[in-house]
Amino acid sequence: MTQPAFTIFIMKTIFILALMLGFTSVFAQNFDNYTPLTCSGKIPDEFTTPSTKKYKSEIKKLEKNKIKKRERREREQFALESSFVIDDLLQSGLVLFGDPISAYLNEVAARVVAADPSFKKKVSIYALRSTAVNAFATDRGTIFVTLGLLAQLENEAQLAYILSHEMTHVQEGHALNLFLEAKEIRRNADKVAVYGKSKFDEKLLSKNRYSKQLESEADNKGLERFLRTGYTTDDLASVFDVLEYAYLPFDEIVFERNFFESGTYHLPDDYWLKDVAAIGSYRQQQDSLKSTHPDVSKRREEMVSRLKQSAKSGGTKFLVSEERFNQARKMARFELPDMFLHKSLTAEAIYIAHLLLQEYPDNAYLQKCVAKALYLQAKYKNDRDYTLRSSWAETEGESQRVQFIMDTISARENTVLGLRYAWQQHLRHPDDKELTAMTKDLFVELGQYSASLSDFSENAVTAAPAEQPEKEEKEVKKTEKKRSKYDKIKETRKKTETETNGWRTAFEDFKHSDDFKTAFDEGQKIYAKNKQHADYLASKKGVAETRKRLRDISKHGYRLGVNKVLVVNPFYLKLDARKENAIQYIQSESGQVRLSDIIGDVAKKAELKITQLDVAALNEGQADKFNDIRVLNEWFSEQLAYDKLPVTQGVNQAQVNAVADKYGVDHVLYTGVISLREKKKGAIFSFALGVLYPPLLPLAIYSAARPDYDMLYYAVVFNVKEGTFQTIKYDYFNLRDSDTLLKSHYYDTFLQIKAKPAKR
Amino acid sequence: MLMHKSLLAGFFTACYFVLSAQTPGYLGKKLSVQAEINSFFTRKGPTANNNGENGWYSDQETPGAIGMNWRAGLSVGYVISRRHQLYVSGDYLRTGIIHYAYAPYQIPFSDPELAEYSVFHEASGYSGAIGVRFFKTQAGALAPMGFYNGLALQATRLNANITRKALQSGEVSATPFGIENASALSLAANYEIGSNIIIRDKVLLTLGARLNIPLRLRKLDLFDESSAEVTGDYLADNKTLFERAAITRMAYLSVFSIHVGVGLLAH
Repeated sequence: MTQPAFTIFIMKTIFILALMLGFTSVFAQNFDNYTPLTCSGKIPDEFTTPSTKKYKSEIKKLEKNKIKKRERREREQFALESSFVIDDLLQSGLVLFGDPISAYLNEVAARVVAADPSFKKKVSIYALRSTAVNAFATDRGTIFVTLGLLAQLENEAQLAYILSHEMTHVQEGHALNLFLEAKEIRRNADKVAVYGKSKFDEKLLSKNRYSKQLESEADNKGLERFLRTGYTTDDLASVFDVLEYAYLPFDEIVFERNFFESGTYHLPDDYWLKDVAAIGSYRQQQDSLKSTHPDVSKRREEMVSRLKQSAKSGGTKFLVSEERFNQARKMARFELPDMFLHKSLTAEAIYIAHLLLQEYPDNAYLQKCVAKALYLQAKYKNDRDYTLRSSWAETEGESQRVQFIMDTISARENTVLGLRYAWQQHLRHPDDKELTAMTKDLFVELGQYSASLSDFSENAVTAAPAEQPEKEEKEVKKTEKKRSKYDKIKETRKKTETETNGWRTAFEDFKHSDDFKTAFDEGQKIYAKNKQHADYLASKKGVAETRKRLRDISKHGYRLGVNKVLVVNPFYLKLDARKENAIQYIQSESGQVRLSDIIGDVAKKAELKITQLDVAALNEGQADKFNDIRVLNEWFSEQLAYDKLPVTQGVNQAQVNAVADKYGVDHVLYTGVISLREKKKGAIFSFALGVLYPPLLPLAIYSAARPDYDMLYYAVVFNVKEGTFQTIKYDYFNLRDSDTLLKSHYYDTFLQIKAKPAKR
Repeated sequence: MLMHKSLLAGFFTACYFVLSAQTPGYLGKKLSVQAEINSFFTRKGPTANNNGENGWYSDQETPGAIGMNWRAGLSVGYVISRRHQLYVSGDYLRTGIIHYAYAPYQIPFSDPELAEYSVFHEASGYSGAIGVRFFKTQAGALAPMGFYNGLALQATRLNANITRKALQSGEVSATPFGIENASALSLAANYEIGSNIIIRDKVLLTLGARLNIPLRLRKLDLFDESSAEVTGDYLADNKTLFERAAITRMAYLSVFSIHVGVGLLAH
């Protein structure tokens, strides 16, 4: 063993020991006060080692092999792409390390490879924060198991089989084989298509056929490996049920109407689905030819057949520990609502929270997830620019009820229901800032529907503002003829919506309390002020002021008056359109380092205080910063999904605020550069022009010889505590991303961030 | 008068930008000093060093030849906003001027006649310019770096010495032309496109092309530099001819020029 390899071995051993020693305390997650999972301990080497280094190491290994030139080239390409793509995933924050789930997964993996200790060193298992029910392996031995999959499993033996399957992929080098085969298929298809166009579908089908072969091989060899373990094969075939019903939540429990109802509040009948679709009734029949995996039922049959042939008997469902499995699975399940919320899948988040609330009825985390889901849905519905896709008809089982409510509930009912639920939670947890902010925002949202608390009475006859303004009778008649069948149907549905008035009784339980009245009045004031401002901006004077402001920005740039920002993961990507593989991975990685340096240097010159958080620049002892980056990245992607929707509270706003406070900032800068080299166009024309008119020759030569570059540069500053943002730059230039150009623009950006706003 | 008004307008515009705009410059550096060369090519016509193979210039002697006039000097630029750079420049230039001139000669027993000469001047002079460059921020430029369009006013004082003369008609005269050490003032507005490149945060390289539009149009005759009406007052005629030839020469030869500058971002 070489010195570095030995060091790595020792470090890994210490790391695993530390995990094993540490997990009992870390593992003792108190589900009554659940806090989302974070990474801890040392950051594994493979997270921070530059991808270029990993790629070069792979290339060195290839040099020892005697293979054909073309195959070598393709293997090098695979090494290049896989190194960078896997590292992107590792650095995304989605992959957990030093957490109890990953620790448990590695322990189960150790049992699976107990008979093959040399192979054990080649694999490392990580939990992946994803709701998808999936596990996958990379050629370099990293196996990812999604929390969505773990949440669905029934026992440790099933997990062990899945790991065995993935280990086969690693051992057999399936990822590389698939890559090489895809290349071969493409080459052959191109040859066939010399006199005609090759069909994309044909290539895809050929590739998928091969992929299925590999999956079958992984099933069979994985089973062989599994049979060498101490796990039982009893009910093992049910692992395919997990795959077959992966589209369903992890449990099927009746969703009662009283989940939202209590006291005088009744959810209107229009929003309640009397019967739900049976399991399997809608399930989309996937075109198995286009699937990369063999049909699940065939896989199950194959396994049952092989199990019959095997002489294996005995064994246990839990080698590590049943308790550990249940704990890990429960954690995975607790993570789901949060992950669904990040994808704005509110119905899914509510239903999962509802499942878990059966066991933990007073769990503050789960209740807050429900409150967030209702809040988020209300924000979407109240914003006229968003059209939410209805998906209840495609949902099966009890979760369909929740999906139906979320799809059909009117914006007003949703706002009231959300406020009611959030207020109830706020009363239980008055110190929770997220709940306070959510209720405050919902009171403001309520302003567009109700101007007085007296509207909230079953017998109320006051004309609360309708959701759609009534049209004049004449106008209605006039437009009646123009409306299509579909317009009329929509109109009828709209009327039905406005007629349901469950919302009137929603606040009976607390509308007489002073706190509620005060909060309601405060919301009305803010709403009135916002409306006044919006009306002003729409007026002639407002339009003129907006124009003046835009002129001012064009001349002076933005002036945010911010002295300190946190710069998160500056992004750099190099593309070369002249090449078959446009992404220039190595240059992208070195460019990212260069960009970070430039940002650091220029910030000093601009006298703007910045702190840079970049996964690539972390050392092994900075897991806390890794978590901070994850929190901020999640928040950022959430904000991108909200687009212009003014959501003041992110899903994990409390965590975001804590990170901001840790670095003493309110503002976070997201910035990046994409550089593209294009194929040269118009060189002959330029040269010809120079020949025709010699005085222009020097310019013509310069123009003809100059390569064509494009560059995208963006810099967006978020106030993470207020949920507001300002795009300082989002520019597309026909220029090369030279150091001086980047410095020039970053200096300008930083001055705009720092400059004091003009007095008005 | 026009020039005065233009200069004042330019000055006040510059002041307005300086006072009101946020000016990042390049990493805070706004002042630049550059050495410049302007080359103006010509396919015909004399230059300071080209007056023909046989000591006399003619189109026939240098058919299709490309002559080159040049001017060199210094310019100082100052960034006044994210999109604007004000600059002043001073140049030294050399060129050649050729035109007809008259000198009286005496024919015995009759009135003096005017001999017609072709005269060649070696000319040199100084020019000064003040201008503004408009940087295309939408194309990624930020003053003083990147692509720009520029507008400037330029005044050139040419001093010329007759170094050769050739009798065209009449007889040899010993009388001076009255323009042996003449000078002329040329005014031009110039439009420029170019690009400023910054090297290693310090060196500013400018590449551009300029279009010079002469302003003293009444003095200009692009097609026949010697077409001034002869009044008989040969001294006045010679001055007119010289001035017209000098201004036309400047206009004709510098209508398009290539501009290269190298300098430092000073402060």
